[in-house]
Amino acid sequence: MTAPQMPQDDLLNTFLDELLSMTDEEVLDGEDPAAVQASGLAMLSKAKQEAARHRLAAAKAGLAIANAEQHSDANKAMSGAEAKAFLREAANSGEYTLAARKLEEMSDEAAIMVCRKLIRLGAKPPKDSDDP
Amino acid sequence: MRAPKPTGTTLSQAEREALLGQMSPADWARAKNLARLASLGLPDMGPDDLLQETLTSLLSMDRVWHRGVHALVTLAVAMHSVASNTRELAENARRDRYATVTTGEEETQEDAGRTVQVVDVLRPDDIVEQRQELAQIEKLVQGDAEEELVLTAWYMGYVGTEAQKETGLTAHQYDAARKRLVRKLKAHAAARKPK
Repeated sequence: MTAPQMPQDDLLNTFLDELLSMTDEEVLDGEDPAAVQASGLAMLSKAKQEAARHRLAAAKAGLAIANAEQHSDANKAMSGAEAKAFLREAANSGEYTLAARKLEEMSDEAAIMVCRKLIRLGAKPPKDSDDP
Repeated sequence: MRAPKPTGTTLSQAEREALLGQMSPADWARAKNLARLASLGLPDMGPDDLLQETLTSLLSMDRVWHRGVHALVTLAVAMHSVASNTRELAENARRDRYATVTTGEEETQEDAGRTVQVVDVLRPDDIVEQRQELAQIEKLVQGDAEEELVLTAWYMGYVGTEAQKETGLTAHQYDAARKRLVRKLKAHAAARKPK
């Protein structure tokens, strides 16, 4: 008899139904149940470790992207005035020391550069002026 | 690809682990039998590799597991998906091996006419190979009329008693033929490993 062709997933589903219609003894076919289960659980344990590694890799990648986005946000469209305002705020916070006179004398480019340095050191970047 | 977050209708990772951990010895045997069928024709991936990869993808939350769906049903769906992806990757790799990469400069040269644009390098036997899993199982049962009948019934979507009635075999003949078929799958898988 020539079998009609059918997609493999359909055959897989039918085979699953067939396996489910069989008794446990028939499916095990003389194999030691404890050994079969132990083998399955060993695969499950390995899968858990592998999944944990995947999650760690995904978290690291996510962190790298977030850092890149943060730097990108901080670097783009930062004006000299915004940089100076941020530096003034940072100085007033007491976390960083910056002479007021020095800030006034600072060029826009220098202010932006110092601002970026502080951001790299962990200071929170100035908010976008369009932010509410 | 970002993993889908568990929702009310999908299981969390802990729930998946718990359900898989509760599988009986017979269910593990069923899962292994499914893997033996699903891995037929897969290059460089035996049944154990396929089952391992499927378990990992489910626990990594790369694949959806709907609440209320039996572990074996989810495994079968995910297994088919992993197997399909593997086949696709192998197919693409084969295309790459035959592909000729050109920079476009060759077009101005005399030998430009020899450059063949690779539209599709699939030959008729490649297409047959895509259905290899079906061809292989047919080959496995070849020569055993009763096994051929059982496989045909499965192809038609019949299972258990319905399949037995459809084949015209007695219950005893059907069970014996099914057992032989499952054993052949197992022997075939054992002969493939280790790679």
